[in-house]
Amino acid sequence: MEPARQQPAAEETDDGLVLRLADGCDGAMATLSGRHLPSVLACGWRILGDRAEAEDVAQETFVRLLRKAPEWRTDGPALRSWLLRVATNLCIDRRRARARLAPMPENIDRFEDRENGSLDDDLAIRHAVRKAVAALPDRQRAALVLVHFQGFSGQEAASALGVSTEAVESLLARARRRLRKTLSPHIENLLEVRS
Amino acid sequence: MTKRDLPNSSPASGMSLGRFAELAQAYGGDFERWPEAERYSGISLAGRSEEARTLLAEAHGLDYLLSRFGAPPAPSDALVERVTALERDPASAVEVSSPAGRTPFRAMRSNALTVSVVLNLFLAAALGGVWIGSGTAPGTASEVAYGLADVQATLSDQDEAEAALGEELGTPVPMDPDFVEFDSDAPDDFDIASWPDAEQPSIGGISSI
Repeated sequence: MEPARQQPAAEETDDGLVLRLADGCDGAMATLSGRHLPSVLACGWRILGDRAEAEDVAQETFVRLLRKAPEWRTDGPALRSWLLRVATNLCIDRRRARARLAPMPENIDRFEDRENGSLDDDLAIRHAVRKAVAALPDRQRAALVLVHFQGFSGQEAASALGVSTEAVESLLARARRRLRKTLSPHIENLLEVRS
Repeated sequence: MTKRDLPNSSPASGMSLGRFAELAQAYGGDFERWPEAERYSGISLAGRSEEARTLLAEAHGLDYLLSRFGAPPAPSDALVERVTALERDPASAVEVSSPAGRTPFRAMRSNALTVSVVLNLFLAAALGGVWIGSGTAPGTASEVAYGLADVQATLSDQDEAEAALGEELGTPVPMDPDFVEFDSDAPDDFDIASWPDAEQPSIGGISSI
């Protein structure tokens, strides 16, 4: 009789859970998705600006994890970094494919907060910020999302994007320069209010 | 000389104002996002330099706006269920729709464009004779050449856009030959039969075999 597979403990490490996943341990995926699905979904949503597409990317990311599990190396990148790298690249692929079919400008209106009719100031700022971020070139936006929103270090973002840390800093600086230019009226208003 | 060695360097803190500016412009005004190895040098310089504090304040302004982006959605129960079910049945993954899918209509449009260009070139050759260019191109050939140039320009624009994207990504991006927008309702400027009489190609002056 086959021994019963042990449920993963809550404090099991990510690496341990991935190895259990490879062994067919029941419950490993539930624990892993509980830990990482929110940030994978958030990353996809910020890059794509569309919840349904972000959910597709999140699911595909975990499908890739399942395939990767048998050859998972515990001395490789941390699971969170690996997942967000996969998700980011899936998002970039989608953006590029989408741009071929429906050239820019595009996805900002997919964010769900426009159905309220007139936008008050707070909503107007949020909309302007999302629109400005959505208009960034793919890699600039991905670097910004990873470092500013997902808490990646420059080095982790570099690994995720397959570039050097210096290149990530350049992507970030260009992204922020472009955002500052686009959002300058809001920044000026902000400074006026503060002063 | 690198930017780290700008004249206004601040040896006491180990960080130049130039490097401080680079980091503030890349990572923003929150030192928590800065590279750990340079974080404390940055904090030290900000404590002593008015210029550094100004750079930091500018970066904070944008950070604040970015904080208004809004909270991401939480995973829906359906998504959690879909992901969790992968472990029991990997084949259960709902097939995700990809915008990369090449629709039959799109393929048809692309093929229609290709056929249209080839047929029109053939028509141009039939009307104008076969021109083997040596020396200046006479009128008809010029018209055909301009038409070709238009098509090539369209392709070239797409090429440049893709190349720019490739530069942004740091990797060369092969051009998608199907990426030519085609409006079936638009007049076909390349249809020589539809040209005004005055602009119809003349046979004279074109060398033919």
